[in-house]
Amino acid sequence: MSLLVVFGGPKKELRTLLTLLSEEYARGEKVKLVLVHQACRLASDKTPDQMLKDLNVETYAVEEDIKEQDLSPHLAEEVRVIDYDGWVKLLEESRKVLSWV
Amino acid sequence: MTRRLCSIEEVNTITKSALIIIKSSESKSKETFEGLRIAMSMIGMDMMPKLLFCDEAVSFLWKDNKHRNDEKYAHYLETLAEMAGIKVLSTSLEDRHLLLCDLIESLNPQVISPSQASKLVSESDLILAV
Repeated sequence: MSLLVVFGGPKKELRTLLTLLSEEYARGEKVKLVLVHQACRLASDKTPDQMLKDLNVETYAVEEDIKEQDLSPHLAEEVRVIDYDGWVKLLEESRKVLSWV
Repeated sequence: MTRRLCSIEEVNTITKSALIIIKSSESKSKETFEGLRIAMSMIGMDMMPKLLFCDEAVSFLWKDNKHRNDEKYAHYLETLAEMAGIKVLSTSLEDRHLLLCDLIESLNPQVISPSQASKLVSESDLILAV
């Protein structure tokens, strides 16, 4: 089981979010991050946020939002693209959900 | 597969503690009001949420914020401050060069460190940031 974080905010809010998750990391909780809406741009960076890399966050981006913003050609290797069924599956597998949109 | 919706009683047994994080700027006041409304609704359902203000949203607690004279907003904030308590992330205040004395005194906001805030997140079963 893991903590699922749905993030749709701007990049500057990601720092606060990751800071607030530090206790979860300390407990060894696995954190999965789903990027939605404008936050999908974070998946398009050639180098996604260093903090995400450092914390080894499993990162997903929602296919529909990626297509809408034409981000497909620029996706970072680490980011996995999911459709709505994949998102539901992640929800079902998670112990709890943090929604930050 | 058939899925069944939970009753309120079932939800209450599943969800032990809720945390509402208010983080949007004054320009997105609708989101903030929505967060406060959700918190009020939870109280109405006998679930006492915790309320944390961070990032741009700390300006809502500022003495001279532009929503100060909005009755509905003031009522929500005062009720939530009295019943649930209002917590503010220290680093968000520091980033904006604000001190506790710059915030609305009657709300009695409690300034907490990032590690205390992180503990709140860890202890909560339901977390919603708006």
